[in-house]
Amino acid sequence: MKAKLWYNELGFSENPFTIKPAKFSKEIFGHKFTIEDIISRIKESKAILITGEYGTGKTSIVKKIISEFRGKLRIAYYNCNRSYKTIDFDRILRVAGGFFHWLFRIRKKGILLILDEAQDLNKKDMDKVAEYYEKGFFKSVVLATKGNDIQLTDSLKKLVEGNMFNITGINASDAVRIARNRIGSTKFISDKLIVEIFLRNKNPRKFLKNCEEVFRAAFDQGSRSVQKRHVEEVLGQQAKR
Amino acid sequence: MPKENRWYRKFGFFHDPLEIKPLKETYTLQGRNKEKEEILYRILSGNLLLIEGKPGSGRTALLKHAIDNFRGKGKVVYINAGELSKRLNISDYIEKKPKGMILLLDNVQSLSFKNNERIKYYYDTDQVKSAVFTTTSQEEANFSQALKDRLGSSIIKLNKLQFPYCESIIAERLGNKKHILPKNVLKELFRTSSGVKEFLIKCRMLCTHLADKGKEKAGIADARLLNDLYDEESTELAVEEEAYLCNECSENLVKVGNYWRCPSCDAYCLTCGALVDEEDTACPECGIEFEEDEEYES
Repeated sequence: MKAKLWYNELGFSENPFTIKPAKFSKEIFGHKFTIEDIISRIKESKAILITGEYGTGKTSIVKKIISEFRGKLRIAYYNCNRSYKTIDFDRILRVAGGFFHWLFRIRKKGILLILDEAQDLNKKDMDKVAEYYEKGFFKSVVLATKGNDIQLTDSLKKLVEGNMFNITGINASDAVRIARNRIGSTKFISDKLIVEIFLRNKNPRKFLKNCEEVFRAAFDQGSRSVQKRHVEEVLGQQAKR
Repeated sequence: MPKENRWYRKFGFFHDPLEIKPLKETYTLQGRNKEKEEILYRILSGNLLLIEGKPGSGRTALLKHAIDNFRGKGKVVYINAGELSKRLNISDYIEKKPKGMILLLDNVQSLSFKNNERIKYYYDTDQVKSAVFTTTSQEEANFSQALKDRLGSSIIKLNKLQFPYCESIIAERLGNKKHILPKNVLKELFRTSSGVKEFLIKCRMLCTHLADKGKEKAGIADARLLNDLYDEESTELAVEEEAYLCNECSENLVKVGNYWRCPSCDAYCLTCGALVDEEDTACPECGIEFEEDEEYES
């Protein structure tokens, strides 16, 4: 009793509308100027703070930055909600330096530190980041955090001053490009309907989720392409919940 | 009681056909066609899913259905969060498993906020391909806004199973002995039970009663008598069901706030049950301040 899944029938081996930022992060649409700005500031060795609401694409931007500097810089990516109490920066520096640095316990200098979910950092860690940055262990620091209410310590605040980026939503043409990048130029849905889905909820993550639900509903009803009634059926229901 | 005298041996069964432990039984899941389809779709397409339902409404049975379906094909990991104790860091658990695993997390309401955030992280990095949580209600689970966002509308609410399905559960399990429990008796038991589990417990109690009396068939009077008795016994049963043992010292765990804690191994806040450090002066979750050596046990 193997149920036929809509994305298999349309020729995808995996769900194209997955909301995981690790996939499809090579191409980012909508934040072009922000990303260019961030990259140029990293080259100037500055500390950067990225803020944004849930699901606006902070982690995707961070992944894009990583792929941009791959091979050029030593990069340490750390997600702060993995830690239990404090972050062992010495260990990060040793591991980032490669095998011999790890073996002889030498701390690598000049790495690019990326801290995701920085709202979970505690005060001790923040001070340590600032201290190590000043000593030159970190060439540049990128902090990604949700919302605008992060409470930084004074030392860190001084560092990121003037280098704060707020990620806002995307516009309709970006939404179409995101969807097209994932599903290709299939005739199963028209650009007009993608915009229609986007207008229901402009949050990029919600948009992808909504796309998935609409596609699934359209496929389950056995129609050849997505119609406006499918969008209304699925997303009209969501508004009520 | 020796096994030879058990009720099911008297009726000619070798094993207990009315087993209530969902992970042990090998019967097909009756009814719930929509939910079955939903859980398989969410797992295959790499989504998160939350199953809401009262205790004994068949949440774990639904997870068992998923386990059976992916047996040998995917990397399915089943964790009952109610059994995890101490200040367990769930990363230790997940990082040992292969990448792209399917996580089935039962009783997620007893998992801490921090551990839920870690699961979110592993989901984002594709270590966990898809996750299914079960809980009594969404409010009781310690989910952050970010995790709720990822869940979106993929929530299943389990209602009481319809009577025809309950009837077919009994029919499947008792096979050609199903005349022991006639339809009107089942209906009477079903009317007064809150979920599938309670229904099965009642059926089993009735069968035990019949075996003791040497009867071959249950009457409606037996069912009514059982319903009256059940209310008195149900409190005892509830205690028996909810006893968890500590993994380390096998003492009974106590429920503090939303968590199960071991009084001799864990250091926890006495008001909300959150794990605390021995050096801490205030609880990290509810913010209450401790007095020296009094407000927490260690």
